[in-house]
Amino acid sequence: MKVAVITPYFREPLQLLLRCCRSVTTQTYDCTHFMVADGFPKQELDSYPIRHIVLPRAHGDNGNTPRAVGGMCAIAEGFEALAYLDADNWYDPHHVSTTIELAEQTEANIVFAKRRLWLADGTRCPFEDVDVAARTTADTSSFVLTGRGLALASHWGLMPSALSPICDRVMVAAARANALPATWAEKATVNYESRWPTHYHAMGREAPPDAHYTDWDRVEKGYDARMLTERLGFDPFHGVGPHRGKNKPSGVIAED
Amino acid sequence: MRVAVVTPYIDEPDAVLRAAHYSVRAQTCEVTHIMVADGARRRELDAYDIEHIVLGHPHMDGGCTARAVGALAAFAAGHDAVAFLDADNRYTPDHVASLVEVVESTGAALVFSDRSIELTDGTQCRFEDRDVVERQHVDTSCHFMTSRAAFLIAVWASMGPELWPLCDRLVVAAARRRDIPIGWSNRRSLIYVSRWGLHYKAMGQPIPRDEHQLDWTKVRERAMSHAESSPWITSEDIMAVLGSEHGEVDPADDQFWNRLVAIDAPRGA
Repeated sequence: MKVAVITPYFREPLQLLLRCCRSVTTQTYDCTHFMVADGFPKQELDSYPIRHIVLPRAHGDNGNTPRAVGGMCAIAEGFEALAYLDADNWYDPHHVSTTIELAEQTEANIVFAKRRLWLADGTRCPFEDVDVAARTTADTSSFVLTGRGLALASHWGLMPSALSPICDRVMVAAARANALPATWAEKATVNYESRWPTHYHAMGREAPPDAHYTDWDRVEKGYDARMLTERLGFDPFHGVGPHRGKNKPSGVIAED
Repeated sequence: MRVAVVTPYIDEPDAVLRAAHYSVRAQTCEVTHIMVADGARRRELDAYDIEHIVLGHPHMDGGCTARAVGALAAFAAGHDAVAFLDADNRYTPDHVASLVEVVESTGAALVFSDRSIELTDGTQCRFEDRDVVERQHVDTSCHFMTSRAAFLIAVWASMGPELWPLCDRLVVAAARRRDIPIGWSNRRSLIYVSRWGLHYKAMGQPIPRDEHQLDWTKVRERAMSHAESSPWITSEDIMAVLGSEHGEVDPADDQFWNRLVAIDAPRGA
């Protein structure tokens, strides 16, 4: 199977991008890395074995537009599976082989890989979000699409930008709405560098200065059931909207 | 209404790209011109007032992927509508304004202009394809897509090397199947530079060396096999667009003239 890894990037430090990049070049399964600059292309990347797409401006949608662009280009070039990897995360060397094997064994069109959390200083965080552990949502870098699942590749860019902070929840809902056969990996192969305060607090630490927060007012105001239905063919929030009480991360639990 | 014009390009001569871009700059309303390199960046375009997207790799699909990428970027940047303009065509100055007016007066989500056909030496062709006149077919550069029809981006992006010769026809079929509101400006505000032998033969002119040619039998075969695997394009869409007559015919044959309609009105009318 021809596999593409899609990474949007913005202004991440080169060191972070190279960590991400190297984790793809060291995969045990042959794959092509599409890196999509969201307004701030880094010429240093041109010397790496990547497919480098340059968007001339940033889109302010958590990487959704470049993520969709990379996926659409890969599909047009005949790639049969798309694995997503955000620029501040990295894969274990067997990530692609494990998820593709799982897709083939189970005939799933979408595989949700398992992640392990790290704090920004390199400390391992042995917790997971309750809703991720309960498999009601999954992080962007956990997604692998194949078969009919490739139809979701453009959804990243078609959802209204106000929903981009919860884009992974929208995509999980899209997979369910399209009745895509999905499977969940048991063993972690994605490394997620967290900037979410809950993970720091669980470790008894202060949140970092560049901590992530979801602007729920913007998310709720940006909800437009008609637009979602017109663009994606369904409303992931069933007419009632993405209420924070139902969708915000509901705490953490210790890993198995 | 904020409008972006999206032009994919690959290897068109500079003068051709410049003519397309100047026709965008000459619009009577403000527009952003997004040019998408379907392969390597052309440095000379950096001097233009454009947003320049570089895909870095050609997709061999008649610009469909590049077009979809440009449209996606335009909507994400807050534009309300996207007009497509292929690199070898041009607009008349009122093209975008006339399409905006249709959206505002009718609430249409997808609007089409008409076109006038020009031969490569600048001669205006006095004929139009019958399926265009009968509105079964609308050329890509006549399409004006509002954000309410943005799902069509996925259709543009899913053509691939198999379906792209039918791309504009399939997009129209997909739009009609979804029953989205469609409007027409009824203005021939696109200047379409033809390389189809039919238009040259009708005008009694020699066919250009870079004539566009399609093997319709192969197109049909490939299209039907692709429909099985595409979630955006159904076999019904493909059957609908392959219903029109295609293939090589001669002016001595009645079928030739059946495919054309004489046009007397001037450009832009």
